[in-house]
Amino acid sequence: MSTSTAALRAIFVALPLLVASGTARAAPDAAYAEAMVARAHQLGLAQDPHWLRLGHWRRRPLTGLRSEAAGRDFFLDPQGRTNPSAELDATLRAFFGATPQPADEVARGLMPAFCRFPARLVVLQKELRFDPARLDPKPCPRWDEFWERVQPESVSLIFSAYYLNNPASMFGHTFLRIRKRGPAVDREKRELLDGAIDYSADADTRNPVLYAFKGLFGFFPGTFRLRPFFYKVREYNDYESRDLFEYDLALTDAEVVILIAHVFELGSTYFDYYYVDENCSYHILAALEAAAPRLRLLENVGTPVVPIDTVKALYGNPGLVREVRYRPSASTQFNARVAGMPRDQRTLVESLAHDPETPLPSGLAEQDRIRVLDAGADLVDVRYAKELPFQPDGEGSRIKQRVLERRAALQRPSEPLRVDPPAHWPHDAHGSGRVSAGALWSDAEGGAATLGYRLALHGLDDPLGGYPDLAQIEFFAGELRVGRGATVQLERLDFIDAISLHAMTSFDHRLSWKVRAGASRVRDAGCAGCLAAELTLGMGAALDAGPLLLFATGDVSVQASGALRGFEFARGVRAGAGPAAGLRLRLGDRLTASAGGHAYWLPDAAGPWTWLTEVRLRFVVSGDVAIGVSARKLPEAVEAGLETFLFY
Amino acid sequence: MRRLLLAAVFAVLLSSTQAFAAAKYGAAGCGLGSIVFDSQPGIVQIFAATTNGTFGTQTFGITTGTSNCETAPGAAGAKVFIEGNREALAKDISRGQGETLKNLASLAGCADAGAVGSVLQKNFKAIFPAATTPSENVADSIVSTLKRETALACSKLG
Repeated sequence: MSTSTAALRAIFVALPLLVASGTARAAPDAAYAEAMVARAHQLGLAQDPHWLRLGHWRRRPLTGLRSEAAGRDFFLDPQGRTNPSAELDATLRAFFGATPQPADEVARGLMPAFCRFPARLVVLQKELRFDPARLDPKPCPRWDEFWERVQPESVSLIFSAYYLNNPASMFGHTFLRIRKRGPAVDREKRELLDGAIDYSADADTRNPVLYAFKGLFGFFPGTFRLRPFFYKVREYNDYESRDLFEYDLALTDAEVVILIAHVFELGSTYFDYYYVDENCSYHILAALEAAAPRLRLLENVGTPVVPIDTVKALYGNPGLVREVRYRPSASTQFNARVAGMPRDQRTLVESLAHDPETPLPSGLAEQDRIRVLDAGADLVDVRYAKELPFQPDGEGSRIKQRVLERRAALQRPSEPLRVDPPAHWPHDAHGSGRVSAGALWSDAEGGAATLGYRLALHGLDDPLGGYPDLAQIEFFAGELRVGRGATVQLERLDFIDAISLHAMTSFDHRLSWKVRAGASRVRDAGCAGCLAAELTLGMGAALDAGPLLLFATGDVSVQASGALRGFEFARGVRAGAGPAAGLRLRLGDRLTASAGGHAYWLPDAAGPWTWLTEVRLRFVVSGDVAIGVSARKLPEAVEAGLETFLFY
Repeated sequence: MRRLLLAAVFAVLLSSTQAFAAAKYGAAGCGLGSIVFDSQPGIVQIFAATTNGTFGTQTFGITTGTSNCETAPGAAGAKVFIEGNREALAKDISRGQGETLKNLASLAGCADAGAVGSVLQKNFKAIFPAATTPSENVADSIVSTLKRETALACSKLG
């Protein structure tokens, strides 16, 4: 490492200057270029993992070896997308001036290859040890400006927590923060001025059906963007009230430089954005791998690529995460402000958020006035988050303006707010996939073995930590039953089963909701064990009393199956409406007890009631293994089961 | 197949969350609305905000050399920062302290963020006369206040 480190350091120091100057240089050197091409072939560089990662070439069953980068300007050779070797040769020839830039590229204002591929330049120099003085340098004002803007010192990966009100962000999001160089002492005074690098889809439709389709099948181009970090803080922390978790990466200076240079390279291209696998988290990891070939990241991530798994993949590389930090969301900050506040002051906070002229009692000490007004302003920010940036003449803006005026008039600085770091971090979370196996006894059908699968992500009974505690986000979860005589039966298959609970507090009156779409066996007067498609929606309220969680919803449900005794006018279809309720009791970190049920009235259908009651007990054995027992009663079945769960 | 099914589920969910996205967008300049979100109303806005799409034309072209809404030290960068952080900054100024104030102070090259906080807090009503005051005016008032108060020694505002 030592000799190459010196060489690397030299070119890293030189690169921005070299690229900037474009002055003293030798004539285009075709012979030297060919010598380097020959050396590259001799070393087998075109098969080197670093080169393959820089070009995002990957072998896939359908396409063979092909680059995931889809924009043609990312390749200098016409066959470059599928031929890493040809691309390598073309790159070297262009760097040494042996081939001029094509006229159409010049006409389109495209940068010369020398400026367009700074990461390739650095990596090839490291591998081939060519003499930088023999290069064909060009002035690269855009690279200079980019470099000047970023001024990279270190890199962290940021995980933005789950946002259930948007199906697209249910799984969280990841992006990179690039810390600017500067003295360590007053670093926190410049944090917002750092850069953020984000990979995102450029959507071109407002039609939700088209959007979902295009997002899932790769019809949107995805591109990398650089923005000031504060825009991300405002968007996630404030606008969407999502906590941010920051993983500081132990990259070498050289790796940081290559990462920035590579992101610049990617600016000339795009990828096909696939919501499920080749998404933001996937390409962020791919960029890190391209910069630091020693890292093993994507191989630790399965399909679908769930952001939380990419965070855990960092930990597959010992020592890579050197520090974790937490940036609380607007609502977390508000909760910290009112925690421990006396009841009368909490009442004032709530009133201020309605009526900013609420008088403060004359007996209230100045420090308490400050606390109440500060909390009031935070509450307005949380409640009107969606309105404030865009409706300056709206109610929220008017209330906030007046609260802030009153606060400013006190002419004293507030105490800095302290927010305790969370007890559980995203990287501690259980794996996003789950399989289970168990045994079941049913009074109707006797014994059976059960096999369960869940693509993602988290259920209310699953181990605590790393996921939103009051939410369930289950995608593609199902259960098979293997009965006597090896008969295999699909018991249940949910495409989505999501529950978003908002615990009612004196400040938060938002409703809880749930949605379930899938199919399950009916065991009531409607039919004897037929599989019916089902869509259920519910709205209600939740109470969070420490370890005990209670919730109740009013549900509507539609079921359809050929065998179902439903409406007179549409046999095979029935609709139900009625109450549902549940409770969950966390007994320490390992043991969870829960119970729930529903009763739906089915107008015009056989029954005309259907109902379910169930109890469950779950115990975390260790890490990603849990066992559970459950029992449930339906109109025409009583069942009890024992299961083992494995999260992965 | 799995993707098709997911697509169907998503379409349903998206249609059902349409109600969440009613806000009017369209702030100009470098405000939050102009960068993070587009002036397009509707559900895609919300969907787009994270998976992560933007319709934005004012994005930071990595290789196009455009550098609008960039926060280099100096008065222009300070104004961009003020516009983009308006909501948080207004709150911090009313409190006389906070993260946005510290960052603003270092962008403007001021010696003491605490002193900046107390000067701006004192001038809150002049800087934010109303919620409807355009962000450009807010930015101008803040920059001129910082320049006027020579004791703050904000060296990078020119």
